[in-house]
Amino acid sequence: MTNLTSEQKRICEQVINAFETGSVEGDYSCISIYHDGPNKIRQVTYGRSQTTEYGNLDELVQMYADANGTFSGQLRPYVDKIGVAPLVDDGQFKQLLRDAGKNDPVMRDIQDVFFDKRYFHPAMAWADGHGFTLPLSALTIYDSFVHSGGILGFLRKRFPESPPAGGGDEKTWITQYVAARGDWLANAENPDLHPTVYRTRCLAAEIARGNWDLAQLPIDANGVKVFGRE
Amino acid sequence: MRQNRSSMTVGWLLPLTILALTAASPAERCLAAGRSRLVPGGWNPSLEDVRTYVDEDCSGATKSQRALTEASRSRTDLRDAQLFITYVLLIDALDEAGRARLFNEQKQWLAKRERLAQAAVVSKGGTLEPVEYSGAFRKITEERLAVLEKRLAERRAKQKPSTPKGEVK
Repeated sequence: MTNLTSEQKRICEQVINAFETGSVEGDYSCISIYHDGPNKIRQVTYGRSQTTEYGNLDELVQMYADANGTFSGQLRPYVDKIGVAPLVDDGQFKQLLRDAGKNDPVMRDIQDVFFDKRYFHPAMAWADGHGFTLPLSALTIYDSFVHSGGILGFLRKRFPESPPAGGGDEKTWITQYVAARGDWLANAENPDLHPTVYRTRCLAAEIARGNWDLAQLPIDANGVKVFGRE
Repeated sequence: MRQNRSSMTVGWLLPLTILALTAASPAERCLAAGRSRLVPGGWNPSLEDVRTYVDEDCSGATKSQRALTEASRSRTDLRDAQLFITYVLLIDALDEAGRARLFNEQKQWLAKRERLAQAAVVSKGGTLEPVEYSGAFRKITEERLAVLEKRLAERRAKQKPSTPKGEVK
């Protein structure tokens, strides 16, 4: 969706940041340790996009090392170790990541680029391919890419409207999709999914007030007011 | 009268002695059966209070996805730890053959749990993925926990000393 203005893109990012972290800025320095590495081993999860040690953290740190940030020199030796040797108990490594995320705008820019590459660009490519043009459609589709990794096929089968590229009406498709997704989240067999329905409630509220161009601000994103300010 | 009392005392002592012998502690009976105890008697740690606290802390207020993911993982970790405790207590209550059987059964079940939890994930690559995995992992773990708790209760019931009918009033 190449017709999104920079402000509309920023609004999308801030809404997603609010959904994900409870803050419009996102959390670039957050480190979590979970038992969700290969074979349930502990691994580092880092930054705005929650990149994992055995996932794409090596790529992110490589990008940062190449960008000559404040901590690039100190993090560069770790690039070849990430995903190869466990770094979950390496205090220096974790502190460098925290410091870079907190204090170096270069790391924040790299994480934004990384987040766009991982979620925003694929989401917008999907939207373009299916004929969506409205900013609220972009936000809805982007949210699904961040939350579910894409537009889930089984959800599309739960409502009748075709996407615009298939001759359907864009607003009808988005409305029906948000309702189907909200129904799934609220009634999933896994009760841990139920509280996440705040996302579709927010999107449904914007649909209800006809905020298709995201011009009506603020947007209430899970209790966080999004104004789209830089 | 005194002789009668003495006879009564002996009459009480005999069944009490038998009872005391049959009511030997599980540890003593294990030693007698030639197997070692793993857990000192009376040590029954529980995570129920922590679980209640975490459940209450995680409900109510609207949370970000990151907080919900951490809450889901915490709940799951607690159930897995409770399963571990129950497994150890049950292993402790079994004889050598029973221990070997349970060990193999649990090993196979752990692999199955991983497969089933992975299969429950539909949001691959999304921030919902760990929540889908964790919720499924916990459900499977709770089902297994119920099975092992039932077996442990049955085992403990069997090990309780029975009171010989009509011998002690």
